[in-house]
Amino acid sequence: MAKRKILTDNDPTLRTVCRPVPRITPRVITLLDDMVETMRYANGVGLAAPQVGVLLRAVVIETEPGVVHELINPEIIETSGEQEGSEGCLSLPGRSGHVKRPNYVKVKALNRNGEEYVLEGTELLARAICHETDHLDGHLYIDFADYMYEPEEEERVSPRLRKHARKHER
Amino acid sequence: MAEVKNVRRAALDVLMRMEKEQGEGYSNRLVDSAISKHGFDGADRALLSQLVSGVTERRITLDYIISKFSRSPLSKLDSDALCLLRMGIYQLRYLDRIPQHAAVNETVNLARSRSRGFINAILRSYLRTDSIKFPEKPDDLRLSVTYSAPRELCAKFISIFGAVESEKILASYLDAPALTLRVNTLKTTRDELISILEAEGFECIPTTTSPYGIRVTGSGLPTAIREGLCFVQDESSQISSLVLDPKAGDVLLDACACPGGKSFSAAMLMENKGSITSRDLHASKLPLISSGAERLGISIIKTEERDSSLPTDKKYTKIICDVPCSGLGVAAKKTEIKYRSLSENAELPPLQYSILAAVSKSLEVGGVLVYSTCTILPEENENVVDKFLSEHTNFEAVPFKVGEHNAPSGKLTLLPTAEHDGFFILKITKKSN
Repeated sequence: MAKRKILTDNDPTLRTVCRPVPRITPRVITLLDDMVETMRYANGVGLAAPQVGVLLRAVVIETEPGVVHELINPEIIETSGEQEGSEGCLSLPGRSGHVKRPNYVKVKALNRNGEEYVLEGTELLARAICHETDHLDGHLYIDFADYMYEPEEEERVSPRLRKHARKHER
Repeated sequence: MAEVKNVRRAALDVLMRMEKEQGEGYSNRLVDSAISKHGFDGADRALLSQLVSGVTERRITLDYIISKFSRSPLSKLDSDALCLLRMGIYQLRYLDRIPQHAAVNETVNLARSRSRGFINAILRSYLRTDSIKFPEKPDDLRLSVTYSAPRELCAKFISIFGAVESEKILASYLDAPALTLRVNTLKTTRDELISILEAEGFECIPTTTSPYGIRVTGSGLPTAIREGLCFVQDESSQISSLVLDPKAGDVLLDACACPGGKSFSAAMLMENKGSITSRDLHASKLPLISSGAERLGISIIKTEERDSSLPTDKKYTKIICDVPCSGLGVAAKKTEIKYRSLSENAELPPLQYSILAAVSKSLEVGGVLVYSTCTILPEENENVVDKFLSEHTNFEAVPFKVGEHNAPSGKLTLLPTAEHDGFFILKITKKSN
């Protein structure tokens, strides 16, 4: 397994509609393994293939430690209810916003053996399913967040500190 | 997706949800689910519960202060702006370990851009103000603003207990609630348990009236609870068991038993000999009693799902009749209780009476029944039992004395203090059929 680089901010890959996984090959299995490792390394609860530069419809989610969901070609088939809360994205580091999501989501997908299965989730899992499947269509949560939170105090003063630190490096 | 771990954000989410549901969801349940959702631990976890319970407990006081600075009435504010203002003022006023600039900045950062300036202005003008004048007259308004209790409740307490006593009661609602344990005398003694708890780093104070209670302070829950050496039970509730005085061989009914504390206490006083029927209306809660009994090594408890307001033929030598009530004796533990409208209590006295009347039919001649509530309102206590005694002349009240509490009329009201809950206890016996 290998950790991959997470694309951030204005990388156009994040805005591309991904194509379905045509066949589950060893490369796809490796991709899934790498995505889980990358997500865990970044302390995330979900990661989509385009975030590591692969334009395929594949997603990994781990909202409950140790319970990894791998979704290949996922398709949301049912949603209900509403939840409001904060959301962040590994591709948009340091930012977070207030996003409304359905409180219940039912999604159909293939597992790594190519078998179709249905995953249901509420609360954080429902939020993560929506967030990650959005990535596959080039959508980011900032497109429809009600509002964004201001960065934390430290981060607002940090540009100056960073400059200071750079000076010292030289 | 990256998880956003911001304690103040999570606290705001819980407070807004409570505001929306108007006290429907108990704050501790919402806090627990936020903790497990975000995986908060240590200091984050403590700050989250402190913010939620503190803001809830002081809401009326905080709103009074905000209204002194806000030009528009509070009802016109967005609910998130109002909740943020409450959180901000709460941190500035009551949490001295949080630096002021952090309390202001981190609160303002959570706001939507259109209310940011407004929230910032109010918090900063609060900081510039030396002291805020609270109303001095009339008493009900003064108590309401000072102790954050609805004016209606303050007026009611003043009419029953007078202003001085009411002030003590309302102040006790703001005390950090005591965690009191009842030693499992089937497995250990109070002194032994104290040394076990102290070894685990808890500070222990033996209760004065109950010889089985220990008030503990410390962080987290003692492992002795999981090991069945004790269970959580307020001293007032322990006192009610002492008043009933069950003995080995008794055939005892606990008519509204959940979550089971009084049944457990009785089983210990009975040295696990005899029989206890722990009855409750809600079958879903009964497994709590069975699992608790198992943990404590009690074998004489049988659970029963039944509506206690309907009489049965079976007879018992001792009966515990701890009826549903307004809970105004335990408002320090469940902050939402004090904010409930008094009109919600109207249906309680008839229910309490019907349970007492039905359950009393199951008492053997010469048997003892203890009626109790965790409230201090006469209409749920004295009035219910006086009506019962006047309509059931074959019953009489039994005078009792526990510790320093003397009850020559067989009735005892314990007002809530920092040490124990508010409680009412009546002891009666059946003279003839």
